[in-house]
Amino acid sequence: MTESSAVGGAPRRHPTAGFRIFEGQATIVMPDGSFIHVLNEIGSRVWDLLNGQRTESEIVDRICAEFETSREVAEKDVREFLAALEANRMLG
Amino acid sequence: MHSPVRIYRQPILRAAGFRRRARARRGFIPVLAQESEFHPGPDYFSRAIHPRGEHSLGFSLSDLHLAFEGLAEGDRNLLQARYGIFVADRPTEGAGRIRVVQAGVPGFLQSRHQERGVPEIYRLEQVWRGELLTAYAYEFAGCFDFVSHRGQLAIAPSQGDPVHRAVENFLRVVSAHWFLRRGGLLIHASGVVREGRAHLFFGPSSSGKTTVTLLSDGDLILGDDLILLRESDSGFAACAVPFRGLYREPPQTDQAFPLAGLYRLVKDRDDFLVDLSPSLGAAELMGSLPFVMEAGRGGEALETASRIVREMPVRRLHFRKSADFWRLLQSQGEGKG
Repeated sequence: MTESSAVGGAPRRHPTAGFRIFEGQATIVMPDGSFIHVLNEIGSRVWDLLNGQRTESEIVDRICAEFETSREVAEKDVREFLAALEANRMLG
Repeated sequence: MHSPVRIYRQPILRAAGFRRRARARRGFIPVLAQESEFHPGPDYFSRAIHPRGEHSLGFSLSDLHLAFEGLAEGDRNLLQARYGIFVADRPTEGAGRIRVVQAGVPGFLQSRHQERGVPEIYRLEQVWRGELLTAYAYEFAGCFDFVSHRGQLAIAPSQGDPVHRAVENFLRVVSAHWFLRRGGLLIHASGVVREGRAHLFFGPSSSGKTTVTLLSDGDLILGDDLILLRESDSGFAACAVPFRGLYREPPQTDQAFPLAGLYRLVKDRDDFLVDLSPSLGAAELMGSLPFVMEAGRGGEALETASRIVREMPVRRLHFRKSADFWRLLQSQGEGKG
């Protein structure tokens, strides 16, 4: 994660990202239109939580509360997922 | 519940058909190379003012009505022959206006043949300044104001038939944005009408769009390249568009047909259908939209695609090179009126 995308530890979706969540599954398109991303249920839930107000830790809390998983696994997966979003310039 | 949990970013649609370069292959008429490159700035169209002639022609596609002015007689005759029922001597009242002028420059973009070993098929640039779209390629630069519905099309001297290419490629871009702004989509697809309802088959190049039309003997073919999908009083409907390759006949109807099915084509050894989730269906549709995605209009396209897939789920149609796939569609009740 870079400082710009997670100021105060509260990552947020890139403001220019277009997305819709259908039946719990997100379709995301970035402005340059090069790629269309489809996330699974959990990735979609994390994406939905990236409003710039929740910290990464709070997002992990929510995932642990909503899905059957250990905190350790959820932390790792959320961190990797956010890194992937950052690498694809989908946070801002 | 899910256990173990894996946060999974799924770049499902990173197939070649969704890359910018692949999209640029679609929906265009190929052109020969130019030797120099000129990028028209904001003031270019006020300098390019000399018309090619004194003739005009009306063009209508659904609710897009345009009057081309400043055509040479030969231009008008050529466009009449090409666009058939989509053009008229008299433009529709209230039609937008496009002045056709001489470019005043040798050309615009330069073909980058064999750049990095990949031949360029067609390159087109789009620039938005507010509601004004400027689109330019090798032999033309055009602008269109989506508020005043006025525009200009500058055509450079070129080998072959520059008027035909310029008008058609400019119209394709303007149409794609026009219908997107009205809740419709210009889709890279083939369309077949069976028993009064339209089946749309889409996918990247070589996925079988033309093949499907050839396997639909006796049906009304809307097209095998671009189809307009727009909202009607009774839901989404499909229409033919007059844009096509160089030598094919123009469509015989401009009627809209209610949608029977949306199929992402996959060539296979058996015929079968796979239901796609709405998110995947919308993504697949968006991957078949020329011009609008690379112009930063993906968000609007997603909104429209969302409404479409709510009304008509997308299925993946695996098919052999045989008309048997129609039996599959009919067994699903999708080939019946």
